[in-house]
Amino acid sequence: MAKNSNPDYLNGVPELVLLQLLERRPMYGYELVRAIERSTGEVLAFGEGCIYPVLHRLEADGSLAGKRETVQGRSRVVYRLTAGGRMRLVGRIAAWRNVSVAVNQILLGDEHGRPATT
Amino acid sequence: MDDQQRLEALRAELASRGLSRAYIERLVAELDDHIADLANHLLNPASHLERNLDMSAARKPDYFVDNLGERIGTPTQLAIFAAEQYRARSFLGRHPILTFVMAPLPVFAALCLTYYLVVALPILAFVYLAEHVLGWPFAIEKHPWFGCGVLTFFSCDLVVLAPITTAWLLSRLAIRNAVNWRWPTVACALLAAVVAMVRFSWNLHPGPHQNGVFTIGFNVGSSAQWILLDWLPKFGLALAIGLALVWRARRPGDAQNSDGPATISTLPAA
Repeated sequence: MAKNSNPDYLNGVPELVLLQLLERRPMYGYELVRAIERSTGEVLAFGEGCIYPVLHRLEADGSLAGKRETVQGRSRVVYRLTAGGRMRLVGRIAAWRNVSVAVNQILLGDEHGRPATT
Repeated sequence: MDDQQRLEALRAELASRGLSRAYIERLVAELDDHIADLANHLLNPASHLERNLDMSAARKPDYFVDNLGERIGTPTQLAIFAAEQYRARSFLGRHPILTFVMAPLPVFAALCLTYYLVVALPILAFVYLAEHVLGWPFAIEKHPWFGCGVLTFFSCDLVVLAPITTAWLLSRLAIRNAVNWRWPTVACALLAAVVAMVRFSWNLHPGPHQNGVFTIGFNVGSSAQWILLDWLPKFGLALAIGLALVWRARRPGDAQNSDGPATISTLPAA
């Protein structure tokens, strides 16, 4: 199955998606990749290997805590959201909603760029 | 290229970008786990019914190997992305222009002052104590060796100690954060250009009833003779010292022995 990479405007989305998924429960990298595919119906398709550098960066800034644990008989690094990560997630969600509303206003607005009226 | 060759290639790509050994080993270990999970996933589709794959093809080892690069990413793509994320962890990795172009001169000035204060303050305290507490007459003008020592140190501080410390500090920071070696090189060139313009002179005993003179400043000429015979040799020497520090910092052994972030190095082994 061919995997299409997502366009550049999705920069920052992997971080938001990872934080949100880990807010639900701790997961390891492979679980996260599958969870993203399942949750988005494979619309979001990140290079699977790219998940790890993002996880490591989030871990380094204290948003996540990684710990090697035995899961289903195998040793894996399981990531958990920290209190700092929850605060970061709140900020990212708010920023995403602002962007989403702004882009929708443009997409649905008239030819002069005025917001669409309902 | 099989998965182990791919991981070895990734390891080499990451090392060439200056990432720490701890980070490389961790990333490769997690990708190895991921590939094992993926292989299990593709070769045992019954355990992953949610996947929308051509299962007959997925059972073939060739399919797995052929699709690995597509799914995981090529070693080069992964290494580029991992290096970007690694740099994004630190302020200086995110702002190399600020750190390596704008900050070197203020850092240099701060280090000059720090070195001077660290040496001068104890000496001044000693002189003060000698005169006012112990009652020893300590007329500085009667001790030319004292003035010479202080001024020699101050001059060395300005053109040797502080610039070398600044260059060393920036080189180490760059390597520890996997910042491209060109950035500390730019910083060293800036420092060398400024240090090559520093001028100082002193005359402690110009004559009877005359005070000693110490002058310090920047000599900026515009003639070709000044540039070629005065500034350029000093700039070249200072730059060579700076480049030697950068080169030393980016030796593979040094870079790979630098510690990764604590969160990585403290992870329990598998």
